[in-house]
Amino acid sequence: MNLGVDNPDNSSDPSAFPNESPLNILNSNDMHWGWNPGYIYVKIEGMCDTIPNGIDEYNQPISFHVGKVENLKQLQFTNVNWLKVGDRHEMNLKLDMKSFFSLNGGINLKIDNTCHTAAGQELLAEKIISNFKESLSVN
Amino acid sequence: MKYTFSILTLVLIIFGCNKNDFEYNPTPYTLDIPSHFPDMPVPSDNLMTVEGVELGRFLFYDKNLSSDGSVSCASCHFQSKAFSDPSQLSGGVNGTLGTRNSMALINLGWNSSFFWDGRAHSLEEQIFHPIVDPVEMNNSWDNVENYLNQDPVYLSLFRSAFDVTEIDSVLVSKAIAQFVRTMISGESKFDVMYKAENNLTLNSSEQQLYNQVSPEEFAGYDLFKSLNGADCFHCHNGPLMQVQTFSNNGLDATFSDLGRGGITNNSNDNGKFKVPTLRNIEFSAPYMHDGRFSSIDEVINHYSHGIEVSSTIDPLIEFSFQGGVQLDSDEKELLKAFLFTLTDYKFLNNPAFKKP
Repeated sequence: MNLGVDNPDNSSDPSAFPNESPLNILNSNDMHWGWNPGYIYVKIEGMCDTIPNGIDEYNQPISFHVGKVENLKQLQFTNVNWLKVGDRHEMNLKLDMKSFFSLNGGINLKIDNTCHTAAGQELLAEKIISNFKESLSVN
Repeated sequence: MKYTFSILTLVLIIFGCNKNDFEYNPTPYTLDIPSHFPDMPVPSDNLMTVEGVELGRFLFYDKNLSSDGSVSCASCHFQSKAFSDPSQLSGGVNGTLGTRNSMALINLGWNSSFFWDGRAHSLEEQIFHPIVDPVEMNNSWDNVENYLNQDPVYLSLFRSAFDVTEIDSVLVSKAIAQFVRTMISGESKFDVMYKAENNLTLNSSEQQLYNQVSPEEFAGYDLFKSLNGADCFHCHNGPLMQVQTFSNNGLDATFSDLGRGGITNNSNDNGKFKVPTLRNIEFSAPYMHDGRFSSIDEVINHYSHGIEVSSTIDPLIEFSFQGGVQLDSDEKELLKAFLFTLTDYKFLNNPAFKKP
């Protein structure tokens, strides 16, 4: 399955999907930037403490929003535990945050705390979605 | 065969008599939804009818729904103010003041939470609150039902809308919800900018409006969307100009009003309030949950250099560490020029929303 939304859906009118579609703007809501560049594939937000002085001071925002079709990834899982929920089947995945912040040379939150897949942020965007993908596993 | 026919006729006559010859035949109401909007999710147990909408309009403007006949919905939601209240804190019966500014009523049919703290999950549920709130209409539903059931005009309106001979609170909320769902704003200058930007076809009057967009308004829109500009669009985007969430936008370092946290009892929600739409913001002053800012300039100054950091501040306020996005005076004027493009004069003057 995709980690993200492929074209043409990614660049089409988010109001035009049926009400029940997860891509309808009412359902995707804050996981969408506007028609161009489309959907936010992965979003990680929080506050962090970047000064190692022993005092808790969570004042540095973290805001990672990655999208755009060039960052689309494929996911494949084996040994999935399907759960029957009403008339649907669901699977649970877990994200290992330690692995997310340390893979591929790591993410230094002192320097790299914001990414909106904008021009100049291509390398960080690629690292974020790659680390996200590699840190996902079947729960 | 003849025998069966007689029985059938008799049955029809009996039904006819019981209904006093009243035939329930409501006209379905077709919502006028702009082409760049999603479909409106209308609850299946409260489908829109012309009769229901009209009844809702009567109720919306009726002061007799309050305990002393002094306050209607419209007393705190003025059409000319985008159905918000120009008073900082809205007044209820006997001049009692609430603690928050009345929210604008715009495109609520697409919203999924109501009130600044999101304590209601549907329009129908929302309407149950103000009637009995002591700082709003201060009434009881028993009183409201008694009043309506003694009024022949209302009895007739409810019968036409819902096929009932007795009025209850659920039907009152349904009718007002139907009226509020018709309050759609999607014909501002911003709408043609949004449509043109996304390659949607403009009709001739829209094209005419688009031709009137000034360079300042375009520049302001760029600032609005720019991460290194005003950075507004993370919370105010799409055709609704809002995302459906709650946010602490850096108003205070400590909270006198817990907002969303007061509902969820989760300290991570303290100081968060519903993200409002920016549509018709030119007319919906004052601003913020407590109406602390009386002008758009004050709002822009807040996001520019007045941000207070606290434990629940929205990480999307990325420049909180330096007090905000630091717009200079020229940029502030451009941003304001763009915000005025969100004014929809047709909405503010629509005769269908006025007092019947």
